[in-house]
Amino acid sequence: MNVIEIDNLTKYYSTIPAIEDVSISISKGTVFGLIGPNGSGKTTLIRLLIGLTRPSSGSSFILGKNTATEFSSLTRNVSAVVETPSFFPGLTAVQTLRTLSDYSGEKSCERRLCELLELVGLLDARNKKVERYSLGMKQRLAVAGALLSRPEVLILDEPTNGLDPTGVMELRSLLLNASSAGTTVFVSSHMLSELERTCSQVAFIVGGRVKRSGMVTDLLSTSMKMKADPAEKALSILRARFPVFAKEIRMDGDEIRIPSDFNLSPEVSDDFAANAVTVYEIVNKRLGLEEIFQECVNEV
Amino acid sequence: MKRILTAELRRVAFHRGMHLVTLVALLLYLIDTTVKVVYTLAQNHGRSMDSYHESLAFPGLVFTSLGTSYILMLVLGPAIVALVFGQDYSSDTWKMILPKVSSRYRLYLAKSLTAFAGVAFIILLGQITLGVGSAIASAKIGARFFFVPEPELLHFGMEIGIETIVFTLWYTTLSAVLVIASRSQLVGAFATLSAYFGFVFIRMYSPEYIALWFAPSHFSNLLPEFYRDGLIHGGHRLSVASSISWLITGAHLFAQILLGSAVLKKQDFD
Repeated sequence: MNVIEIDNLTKYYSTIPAIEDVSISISKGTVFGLIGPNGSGKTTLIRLLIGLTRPSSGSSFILGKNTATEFSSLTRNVSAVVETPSFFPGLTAVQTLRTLSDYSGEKSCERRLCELLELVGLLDARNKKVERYSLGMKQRLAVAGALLSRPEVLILDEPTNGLDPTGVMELRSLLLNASSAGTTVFVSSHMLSELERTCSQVAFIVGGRVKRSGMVTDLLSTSMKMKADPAEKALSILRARFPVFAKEIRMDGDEIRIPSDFNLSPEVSDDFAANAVTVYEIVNKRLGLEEIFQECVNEV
Repeated sequence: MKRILTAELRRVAFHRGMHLVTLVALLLYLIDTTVKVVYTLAQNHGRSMDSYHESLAFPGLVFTSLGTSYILMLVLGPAIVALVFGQDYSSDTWKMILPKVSSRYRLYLAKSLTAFAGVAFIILLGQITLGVGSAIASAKIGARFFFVPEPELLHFGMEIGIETIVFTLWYTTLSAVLVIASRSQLVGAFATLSAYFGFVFIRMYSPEYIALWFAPSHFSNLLPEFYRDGLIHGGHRLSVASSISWLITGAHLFAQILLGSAVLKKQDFD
């Protein structure tokens, strides 16, 4: 059974769609990455997932419960950090964690709070007022707050915001550890290289729609780039020769993008020669999340 | 529920806004107490004893203090409610709290109780301040700190005490609804004051059968006599059958709590 199941989720603000027909399935223990430019609907999707707002249509389920109507029964299983964390004025880090723990109806002993603060590197600053914390420290504290109830599902919105490189590395190992302990992690971020290292599954959301999604290993394919003249002619020859891959063979600037497992047989060379197509260069190129992200943005 | 209440009380106790409200209240109480004590001590011994027994001896001082607290509370009450409910809108902390609490109704109730506790604390502060002033005055003039001139006065005072508690509940729950509905500390606080004076106005200038439905302003009885005479024309309006007034006040309370929690339950935090 999937831990998170999002089914044609749509949210409109008056007539403007924030997200449209988003469908995602995430299984237990997965670190899932949601990637998208600013204003693409990432935070809206997260707010819908934790019951802060209601969908216009569609539904989302966590652990089989509808998040719009039954989230109250999930509060002990799901923890979330939404956008830049804001805390309660006047409280120290320990008091903040204790307050959050009280809200969730659980009693956390001093030792557990200190353990968490140590985990996120804030033990020395535990008695400092949170309003004096830097953005990175607040982010760490928010993660500690999210881990308080040992959740089955951890949802983090831009958790690397304000973190220094050490903090980013620590967060990565923290998320991987949580995942190996069976926690399902849903994280949205702009740090694509970081997501590439951390996530096993990703989805690209642009303009409120999921443009591409899947397992990172499947998406991070190697592709070939060909420079030919005239390029349009070469493109139509390749598409005609390999109609099954017609959609995947496409122009990328002045180059032709071809799937990596593609076998350029001698017949193709003959067709090129017959049509006076000159091939200048064929390069194998590994596609990272950054390139895929750029493609998704360009498509829009 | 108990844990949510603990969380809310902790937040208010450490909030700088609450410290400021407490300081303002304390300053005003100190000024008020000083004026009362100096006035009592400045007269000749006989009159000063009478004056002391009338308004500064215990339990009379409780009612004297409530008069001051009542006026102060009209302004500081909405301020405390705005701190408890409105802070989460202005600093967007709902997104931290709501995914953690198992029921928004419980959260609403805990917040309402916290706001009530905050207002009650300010009232108690007035009692303590005047109590200390009274003790000093009693030592100066050699009067008895405990003095009950007649049992009716005690009975009347107890009525005022109960009315204060109920009015405080009514007023804080009204303020909570308005802060929640407006999603703003400032708008909510001003709307509360406006609503209160609107109620008083309707009771003053409308027929009895309409005025009855605005029973909570019946608690303008709490105003000291000289204020009451100045503000409320047609004292007969205050003689609305008190049992019906109490029922209507209870209905107001119930409706306000239901309405506030329903609004919070339905609110989207986009």
